[in-house]
Amino acid sequence: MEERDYDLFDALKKRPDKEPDVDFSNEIRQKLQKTHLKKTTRFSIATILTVPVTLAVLLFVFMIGTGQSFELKNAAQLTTEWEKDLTIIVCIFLMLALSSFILFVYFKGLTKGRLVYMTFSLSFFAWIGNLVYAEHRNIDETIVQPSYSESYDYKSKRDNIDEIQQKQDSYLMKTNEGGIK
Amino acid sequence: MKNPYEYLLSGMGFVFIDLNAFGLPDILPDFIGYLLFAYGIHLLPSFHNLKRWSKNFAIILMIMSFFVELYQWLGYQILGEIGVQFMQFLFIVFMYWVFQLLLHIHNNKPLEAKTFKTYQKFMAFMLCGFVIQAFSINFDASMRGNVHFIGSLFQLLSSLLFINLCRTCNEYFKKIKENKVHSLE
Repeated sequence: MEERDYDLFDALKKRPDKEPDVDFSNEIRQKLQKTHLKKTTRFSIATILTVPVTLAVLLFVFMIGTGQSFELKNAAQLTTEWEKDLTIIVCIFLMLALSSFILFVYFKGLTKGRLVYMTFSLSFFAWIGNLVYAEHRNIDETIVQPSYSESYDYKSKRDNIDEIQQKQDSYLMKTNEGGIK
Repeated sequence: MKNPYEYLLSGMGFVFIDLNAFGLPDILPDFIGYLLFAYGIHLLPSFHNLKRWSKNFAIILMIMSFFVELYQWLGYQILGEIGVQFMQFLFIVFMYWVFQLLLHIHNNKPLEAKTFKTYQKFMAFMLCGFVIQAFSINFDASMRGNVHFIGSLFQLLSSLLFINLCRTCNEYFKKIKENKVHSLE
């Protein structure tokens, strides 16, 4: 059997003039083209994007127009709880996307050009964006609590505490007097 | 003639390694590393504009790193951790110019393929490490350290690749030198 296979292989090798069935391949090509055309006409990106967006816009207009609002307090609470996880997921996603873009550009073998400068600028903007976001969230305040900071107004706080104490004292005095009477 | 690759190698070592143990300031300060880089680039055999630019860039970085690291001696931070990270980014840009110069010098030489491969890996890993470290600020405190460590691992790998390239270039340079001496004899 093995010898026969080899013989067949050699015979096929020796006949490069023998082309595959042209009509058959043409048929397949036409079919593929037709199906591709149908697919593009039925499910293009434009329709996929526009249909839900228009629905959302209509819903929003309806909500505004009728003055109704959905009661989604529990959902809102859940979203605030999930917000932290979501930001981490978005962070990881952006990080991976940017890293894969950098890897793609350099492993493609580019030394100059727009894409190389884009990797530098994007990584720089990512750094700046992260710094701005961290500043906005004030993450460091929760971790490091300084014993003394210049920005903290100790004097006004002290005055406030004194005022509250005075009020309490006067209230106690009044109640005591009322009790005596 | 002095070997330029030795200076580049030691420059990389000075810039990348921070030895500030026992409360002492950094024994291998970055500005000396940039000075070595500038001298190494000065010794490289080329008359291209890239050489002038990268040498000037190294001198600018030397001055900047001196001011950023000044807090180790004075105890006063000018920009803090942000300054250190900004210097890291500038260092990556500087290394891009150094690699452009090396690719120009090693053009049509046996070192070209190795230089190009090192350039690809070095730039990719270094920028990825920078991006990972940049994003690590906004992670949870539990994850932050680990993510930062992964970023530093990438950068360590890229610096090792550069050191490896410098070593091979060093050997090649020595061979050429020996051949020249023999031919003179």
